[in-house]
Amino acid sequence: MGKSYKKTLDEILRSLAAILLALVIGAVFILASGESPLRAYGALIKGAMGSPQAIANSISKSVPLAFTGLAVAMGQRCGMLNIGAEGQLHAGAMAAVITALTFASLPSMILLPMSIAAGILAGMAVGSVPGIFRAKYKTSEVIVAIMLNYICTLFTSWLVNGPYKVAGSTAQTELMPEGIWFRKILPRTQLTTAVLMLIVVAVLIYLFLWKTSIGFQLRAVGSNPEAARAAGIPVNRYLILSMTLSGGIAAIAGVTEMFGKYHRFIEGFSPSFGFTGIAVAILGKNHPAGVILTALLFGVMDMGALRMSRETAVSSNMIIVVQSLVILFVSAPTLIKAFHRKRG
Amino acid sequence: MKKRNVALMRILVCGLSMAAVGCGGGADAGAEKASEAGSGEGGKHVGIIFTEAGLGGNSFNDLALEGVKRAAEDFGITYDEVEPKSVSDEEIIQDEMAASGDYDLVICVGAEQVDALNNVAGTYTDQKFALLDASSDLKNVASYACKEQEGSFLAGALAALANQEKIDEKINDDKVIGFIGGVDNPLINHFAAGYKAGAEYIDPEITVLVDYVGGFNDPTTAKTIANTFIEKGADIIFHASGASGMGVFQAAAEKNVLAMGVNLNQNSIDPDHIMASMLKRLDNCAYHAIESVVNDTYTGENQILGLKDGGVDCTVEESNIQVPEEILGQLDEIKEKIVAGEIEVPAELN
Repeated sequence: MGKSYKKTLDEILRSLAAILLALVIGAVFILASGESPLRAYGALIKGAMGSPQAIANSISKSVPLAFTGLAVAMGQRCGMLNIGAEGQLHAGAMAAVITALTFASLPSMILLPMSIAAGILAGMAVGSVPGIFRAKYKTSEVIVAIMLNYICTLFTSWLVNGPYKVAGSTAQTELMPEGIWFRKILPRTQLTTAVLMLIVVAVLIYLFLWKTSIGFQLRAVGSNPEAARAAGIPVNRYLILSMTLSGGIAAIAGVTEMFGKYHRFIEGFSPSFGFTGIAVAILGKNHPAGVILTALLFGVMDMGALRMSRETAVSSNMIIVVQSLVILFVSAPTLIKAFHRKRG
Repeated sequence: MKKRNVALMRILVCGLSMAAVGCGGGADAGAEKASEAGSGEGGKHVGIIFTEAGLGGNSFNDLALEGVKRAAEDFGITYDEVEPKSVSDEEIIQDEMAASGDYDLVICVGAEQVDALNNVAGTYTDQKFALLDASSDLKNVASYACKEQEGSFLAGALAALANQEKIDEKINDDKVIGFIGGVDNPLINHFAAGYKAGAEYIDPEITVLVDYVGGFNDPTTAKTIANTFIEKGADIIFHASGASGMGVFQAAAEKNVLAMGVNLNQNSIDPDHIMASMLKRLDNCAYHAIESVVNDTYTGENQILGLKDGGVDCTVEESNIQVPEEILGQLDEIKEKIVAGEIEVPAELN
């Protein structure tokens, strides 16, 4: 117990060091672009945490990233890299919105769970494909998932530009019935009950992976598939299961964006949530708590970047540089180790 | 293990102290900036929110920013610009800008901001907004649109004159020109109707082929349509189809005919084959909105800018195709007639 506690502390410290290092290097870039890093980061902090609204928006920005991060973590725990979260969340969002629009006359109490379920099922269906291909034909799940990303994003794009397009120049569907929109937790912000859904899902994932025998076996496959096979665990079944679950979780990222923020499907709603989710999962060590903390960090940075770019001449893209550096430092531990050695 | 922790701690402490300093400095600088804005000449402070597509790549966003920059020079206003990373960011930025009370005008670009703006502008009824290239009926939102048909009328007239006079060896004997739209909707048909009317105003005999790509990001289909037009004898093709238009330009270059650009001056993309561009001056819309705030004439009404107000135009600059002075003179006359209301330009295809 003591040892694992120490290990966790060490990992947290290392992540924090990586974040600081990234911010310092980011400061150099900001300086090079002729702005004061102090002013830029000051605006960043004010923008992300300067008011209750700002904090609420920071949290709301971290919600989709947390969902995709959890999705990737679920796959990783079984040794599968789910790079297809982007496609899965598009499929999920579209399926949920189409269900909501098609059965708009149903009472909200039935329509809301039904639409969410439709979204999750669509995500699970898309997610299961790379798993099945891997299990049956030993095809790399990465290649299949990447191709599915194109299929899903382009197919939803066709739907929203074609049969489901509402009149006007923006590619979007009709508004969903107001009764099934997620409630705002704080007015004038984008923080909705989606965050409660996130907490429930994260707890469920934790209980599933660490407190059930199925979860244990899934993790066993992830840490050593050969040993798991020798122990009589049906490895292939778990590969499919983990990818299917992963797809379902990724879909919730899309679904909550639709019901919480846009109230309709709109083309291009995801600024690569699915791919950022991979970084979030890596940084969060594939643990639900770590994923949520990392997603919060990313949400804070994204939110702060808006104010930073408004008040200073620093582009909001600067924050992508910082985020990428964080990932680089965390996922390349040897770099940090080399740094230690030099410092004694 | 222990040693590493100490080293990590050292980095952390180091970084944290920096961050703390950063915080304090940031607050000061922010205050400084705000006072700067307040005491600037005229004191007007404007915010501009772009579409998700952001700056760069010759988009509407760049054009709108140009208008703001010009206004900044002319009226001494200060401005802040934000590129949202996702569509949902737009609402957050609108709300932040309105809530801060620092902005005399918030300019929002593009139809994708309408949902959010209806929400935010409804909450902050004292904040003045301008919405470019879309429309909203709220009292504190001045929507700007352009009379695309008037600029397209000039393009059509120019095409017909060039066809008549055979100003370039790429023009054939057939009295056929073409129009390729992105999709068949009322907005795109403003372009089509103006172009057709302009061509027929010069030469009632002329045939204007009209077809639609079915999307704004499909150069392959656009190229196929352009090739069909060329087979039918079309030698000047005008497009209003966004990025699909690159296919039209490709076809023109391969089959050696002429094309016309849209919205921005696209002549420099292929100056040997693009004769002219019809301009949609979103920069003038942004400028007009700021001017109205500076001069205290802001009303929040829907503005539709035509040739008269510089909302649209047609240019042959940066093209290598030589258009004779007399044709340019004729175009100027037509322009004056439209401005004076002597020529009525239809907005719908008949």
